[in-house]
Amino acid sequence: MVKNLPVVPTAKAGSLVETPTGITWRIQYPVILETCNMCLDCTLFCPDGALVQQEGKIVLKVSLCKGCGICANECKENAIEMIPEYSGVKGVFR
Amino acid sequence: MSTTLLTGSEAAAYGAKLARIEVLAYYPITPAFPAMERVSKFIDDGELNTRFVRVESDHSALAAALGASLAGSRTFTVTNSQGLLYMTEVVYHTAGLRQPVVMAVANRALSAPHSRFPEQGDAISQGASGWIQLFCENNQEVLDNMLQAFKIAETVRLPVMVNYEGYIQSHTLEEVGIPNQETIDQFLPLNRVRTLDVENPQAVNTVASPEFYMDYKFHQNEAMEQALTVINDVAAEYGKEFGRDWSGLIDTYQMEDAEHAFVAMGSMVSDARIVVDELRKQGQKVGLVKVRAWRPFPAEALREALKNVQLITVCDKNIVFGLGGALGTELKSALYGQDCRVNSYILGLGGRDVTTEEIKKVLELSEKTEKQATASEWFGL
Repeated sequence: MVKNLPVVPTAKAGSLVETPTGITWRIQYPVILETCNMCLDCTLFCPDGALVQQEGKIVLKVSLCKGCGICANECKENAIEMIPEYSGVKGVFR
Repeated sequence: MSTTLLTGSEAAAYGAKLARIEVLAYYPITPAFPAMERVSKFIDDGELNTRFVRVESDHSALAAALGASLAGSRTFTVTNSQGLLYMTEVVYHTAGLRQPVVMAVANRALSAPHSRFPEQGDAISQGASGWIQLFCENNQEVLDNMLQAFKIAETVRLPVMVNYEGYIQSHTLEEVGIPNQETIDQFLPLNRVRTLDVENPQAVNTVASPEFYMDYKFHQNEAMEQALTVINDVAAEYGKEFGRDWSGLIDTYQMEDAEHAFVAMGSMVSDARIVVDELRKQGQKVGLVKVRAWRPFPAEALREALKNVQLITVCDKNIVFGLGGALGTELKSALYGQDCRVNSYILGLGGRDVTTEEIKKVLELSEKTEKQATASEWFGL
């Protein structure tokens, strides 16, 4: 049975935030170190808006992060470390 | 209605003006350029209330047109050959997003080697893109098809290309009747659909998972099939209103008792009418089938029009490499199982002239050919 769809391929605004895709296949995620000087560059470079400023700190919205590492690559203070999602030979989820 | 001398490009521009286009997005290319030049003059003279978006490439031209159309405006652009290839990504976007953009295409040969001369290869390259494609035989039809194109597009929510050959049509003056604005306004009320709406924000062209993509494509193709009826209806309505009936998907000429049919699209058709008249005077039972809508492909209409014909000669001003002429190949496929011989010829590539003499020679050659060749034959090398 063919699905009934809108004529113009559209979705409700914000639907990508509601149904995040990265979490199922991300292999690493960023951790913000204490050397962070709050320059906010990482929040601008993050292609998925996963890094935000909250109460004077950079906070990771885990469900939006795909683990690309652009933030760590761009951080001038080297204050972002990419940590593997899996550890150990059996690939146990942390 | 007034009658004046117009080039094909000007006829397209007058069509856009009568349709009261709201946005023109354009990047210059030869031979499509004069159409945009004329529209921009209408705007400058205050005869047309249109936003002219000047962009940095053909890709951006159609992208701007697509955006304007998503915002609900009646939108027009013009291009050909390399420009059409450069905007190809957005050609598919426009069809997939179901926007009724109308694009005039002054058909020109594709590089390499570089050529500025007429040929239909550029339009043919977009045959799988989901655009409705109309081909015009003369400048009057360019103007009339422009107006019908907007009506068809806004009915089935698909974009339409109006094809006319570079120079042969785009730069040649012909007598063209221009309908009154008032009657066109009645024929072509703006059927506005806004997708970009600040009151109701939506994410456009979001990722469609395997669960949805195929269903979207099914609906898109269904709209193409709907166009098979709509193109006929709109042509009939236009004919009734303005006295020029271009006969929908295909047109037939002297086909009642024809034993040999000539099938073509574009400027060749008007020459072929003269050839058919001449050969009829000599007692030859020759007829003409014009393919006016190449997309959607009018397979059923062609089967019906050619059901009593033994010999069919089909000519293509294009080459699909490794396959043959596009129209010839598709016609053979449409006529599968029908008892007839189809001889397919490729001619007139890159501006090589096709006059009534060439058409006569092709028809003679086809009569003499005893066995149908699998591939298309090259004529006029």
